[in-house]
Amino acid sequence: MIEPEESGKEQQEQEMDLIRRFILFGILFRVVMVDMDSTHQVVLKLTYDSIFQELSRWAERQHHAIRRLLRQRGCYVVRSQKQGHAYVVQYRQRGYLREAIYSIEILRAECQELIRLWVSGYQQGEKAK
Amino acid sequence: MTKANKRIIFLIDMQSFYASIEKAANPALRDQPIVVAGDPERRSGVVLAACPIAKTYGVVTAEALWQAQQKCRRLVVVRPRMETYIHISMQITQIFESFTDKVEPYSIDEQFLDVTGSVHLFGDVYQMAAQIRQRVWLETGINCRVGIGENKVLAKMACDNFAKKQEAGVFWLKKEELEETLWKLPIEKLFGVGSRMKRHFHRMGVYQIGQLARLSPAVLTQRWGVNGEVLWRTAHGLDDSPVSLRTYDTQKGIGHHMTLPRDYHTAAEIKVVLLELCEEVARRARSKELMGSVVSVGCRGADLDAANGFGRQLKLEEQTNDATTLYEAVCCLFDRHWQGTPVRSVGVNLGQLVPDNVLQLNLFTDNHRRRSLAHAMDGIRSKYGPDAILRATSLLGAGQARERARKIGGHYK
Repeated sequence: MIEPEESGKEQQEQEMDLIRRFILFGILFRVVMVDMDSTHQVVLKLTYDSIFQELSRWAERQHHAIRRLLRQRGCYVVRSQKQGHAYVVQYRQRGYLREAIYSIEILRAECQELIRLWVSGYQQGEKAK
Repeated sequence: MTKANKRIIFLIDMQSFYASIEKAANPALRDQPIVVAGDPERRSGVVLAACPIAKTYGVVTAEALWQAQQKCRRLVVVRPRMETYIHISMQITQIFESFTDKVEPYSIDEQFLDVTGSVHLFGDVYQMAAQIRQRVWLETGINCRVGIGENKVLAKMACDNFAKKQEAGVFWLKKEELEETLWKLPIEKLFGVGSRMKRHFHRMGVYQIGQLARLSPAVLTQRWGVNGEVLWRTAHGLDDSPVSLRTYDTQKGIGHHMTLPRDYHTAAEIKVVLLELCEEVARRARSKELMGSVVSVGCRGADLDAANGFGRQLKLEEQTNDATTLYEAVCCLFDRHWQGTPVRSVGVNLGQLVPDNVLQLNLFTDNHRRRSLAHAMDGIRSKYGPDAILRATSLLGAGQARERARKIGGHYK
């Protein structure tokens, strides 16, 4: 929930960051499933579907959690689409229609970072056990 | 609130633009010292951008790659990707256009914004600057710095001299506070003063911007003409130029310049490159529907010192944008002025431009036919790439056209 003393500026900055994370997790959970299908085209000794599915489920859960948080703050993503070398997202923020223009290359790199985060989190869980 | 007659101009500069893009695109590089540099195998290997980590080792922009590698042994060298940088620069312009409609790209990594009419929509000036920085950071992964002033020259100096040196990355250089801020800086920090001008000022006993500002503009005008007055106005923060996309609409000349991968010693070798440059100049002139009547040629030696080369120009009998006509004039100049010294850098420029919608008929050459041929070649090149159709001489060892086709502005695409 939003703290009462949180200024409008901070709130807006947080929401811009939330939108970005929402987009990243949304892309990640879909891309992982597409990549899983791609691995089916290759003959492998073992199947790695469970890893892909677990990663995709984790990303999807994060995606939905952030969406709930955004809705609580009155933010909705209206439209997102690829435009040339950028990924353009239009979102409504308490009535105002705003736009974010992400570089696709950066989104790919950030998704890669999320996978690294997921792997390190998974490894930490293993150690705790 | 801002006064009605005062503008609010932002100059937004991207920190280590090329290097920041590479770091954002490759998370493995984020904690490493990186430079974006030309091909290390070739002599053109100079540092185009160094990341802040590399700069802590003393690596500076524009130094030779081998020098940078000596300063930092674990330096990561990334080859430039000019097309990507141009796309990101255009993306950043798009971001800025959501804050104001008055955006003027000043270079690939610097843009002017006139936010006078829109600042009230985003809180105050500092809040707006912070929002812009936040958006650029989140959407491109690049840290930018904002210089604020009531005109372009103040915004530029605010960014270069203050915003870049502060953690906050935002600085408002106010005209009424120049005496306490800008005037205390050394003379070379003034926009428009380079190393040669600095030496001139030092000889005059002018070491600080404040000293220049207190001089009479007549003294400066007497010495440097209109440029002297411009410097005096800059020191006082006076500049009326608008933030407009039309600033660079009036083109005075079309030129191309090339730094060669090695010294060229013979006229035959140099003329191969001159012909390629003439082709490029003529092609650009045709694409802009312009013709020129003054052609100039510049050649410099290995140390790139003007004293070891020449720069000469020639008035043509009639305006042209035909490569062959241009080449004939260029060869005439070259043969007349080249002293036989090794050449490392060549350039060709076409000036005194006029629209090409009038064709001077000639009894001895079929200009109409030449023009049709040139346009056919332009069509092939624009459809299939600049090296889709080449002169046979470009296939010689001296030819650079195929290598240049892989580059933008002399750096790899």
